[in-house]
Amino acid sequence: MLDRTSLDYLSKDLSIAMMPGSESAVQGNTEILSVVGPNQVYVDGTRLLASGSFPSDVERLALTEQVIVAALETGRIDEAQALLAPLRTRFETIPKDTVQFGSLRVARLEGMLLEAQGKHEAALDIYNRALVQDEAYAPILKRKVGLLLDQGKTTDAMKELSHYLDHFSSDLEAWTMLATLYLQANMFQQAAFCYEECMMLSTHNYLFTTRYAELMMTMGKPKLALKYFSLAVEITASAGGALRAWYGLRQASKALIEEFNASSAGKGAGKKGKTDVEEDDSVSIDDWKELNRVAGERILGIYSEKKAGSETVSVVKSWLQTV
Amino acid sequence: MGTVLTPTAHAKLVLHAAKHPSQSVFGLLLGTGNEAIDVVPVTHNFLALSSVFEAAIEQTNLYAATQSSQLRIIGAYVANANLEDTELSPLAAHLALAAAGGVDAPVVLVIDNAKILDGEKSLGLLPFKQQNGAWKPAQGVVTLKGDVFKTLQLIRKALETNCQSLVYDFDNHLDNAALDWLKNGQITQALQLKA
Repeated sequence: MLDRTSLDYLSKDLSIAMMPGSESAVQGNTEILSVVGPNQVYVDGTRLLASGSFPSDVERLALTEQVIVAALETGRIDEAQALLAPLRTRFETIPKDTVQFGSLRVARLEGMLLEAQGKHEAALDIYNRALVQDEAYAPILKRKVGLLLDQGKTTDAMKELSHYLDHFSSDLEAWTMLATLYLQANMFQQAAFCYEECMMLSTHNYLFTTRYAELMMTMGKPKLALKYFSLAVEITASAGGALRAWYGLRQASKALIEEFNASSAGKGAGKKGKTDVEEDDSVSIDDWKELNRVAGERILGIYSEKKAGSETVSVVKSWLQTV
Repeated sequence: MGTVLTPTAHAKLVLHAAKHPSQSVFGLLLGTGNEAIDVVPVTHNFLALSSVFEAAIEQTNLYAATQSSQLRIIGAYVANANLEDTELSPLAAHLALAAAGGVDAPVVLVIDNAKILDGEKSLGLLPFKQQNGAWKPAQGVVTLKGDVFKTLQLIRKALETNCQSLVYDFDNHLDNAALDWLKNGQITQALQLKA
């Protein structure tokens, strides 16, 4: 079943880009498909469970797990409970020494069921007991973060997630989640750091590059933004460059042109005293103007290729005259 | 005194929020005075990425001008990710102010996620306006124009048939330039709404 994890694997080969937490996969300038939504997973999954035969028990159980999660996501609490019951008996919990649960995977599902029913304290109890059994069990560590967010305890969630990432530093989904949390709290520097990790973990994914560039724009760093929008365009070169990236390139180059015009009466004296990271004399005002022009051309080109409506196109044309 | 919404505006707003149940959504209100005639969905990834909003707001302004000389951005709507969160996010307030610059008193409608599908009792929209520089819950109730019962029935049926998948915001548009995020004509058609 095509879920989020398998799609990430695909993306390395077919330059499909997807940001964890988003609902669609993008290839160049086409939203090629939506990640299969929980409703679909539930409907198709239950059908398969009822009628399908499985090569091994492991596969059947894995599908059941997926269906339970999908059921919880779509509010089908009773159905989820019914599916969970046989798992409970199958992986019986036999308290012995520190062992609490027969299966931590089932424990996670138990916790999620309680969360769906609004019984947050009971769910937290399960997660904490599971972590006593195995303090490094990643799925439940992450579940705890989700629980804290549900309770509105955003700062605690950020702390837990940060701690989790100290140990599991290649978890792209977690880095993206933390970046979002920081961004929502207007902690831009920290969010930027997270997106940098994301970019290192998935260099082929232009969505992170673009998001980072957009963040640079928010932080008032158009030179850096320009670099990363350009990188995003490079990554998506085979599709002619992604619209998102060209938009950003147009805006970043315009910001730099305006900055240049405003400084020293346009004599190109540059900005003394700016941080050296942003000073890069290899790119000049002429380059910015050229980039700005090309971006405008490409944007209109994409709208034409996609056969966008004439109303939309005329709005974009008018917009391009202001930026 | 209170904000009035046309059936089209309310339907699009609800469907936009319904399309992204676990995310925060944000959009702009188009209208005149205190009447929101239409809405333009902007994003379902409500993060402080200024360049994206600048483009969206500018294009919405240009679009409004092509529709009618009276139409302008009069405010915004926002739905928080958390079910029970009905606070006005400072970012939404800031954007509403930036977008509805020409208007006397921009309004931000915060969607009460728990109540939005309630029905006739309340529309599930909490209006906020600026008073002496600070954003506060506004006086007056948000009302729906036209046949309220019929509109709510239409919306309910639309949700049952997954019509919300037809709502496109600026975010979607950037992934696929063919999607019409400004007018979302396909929604008006699907719902056979009149104004």
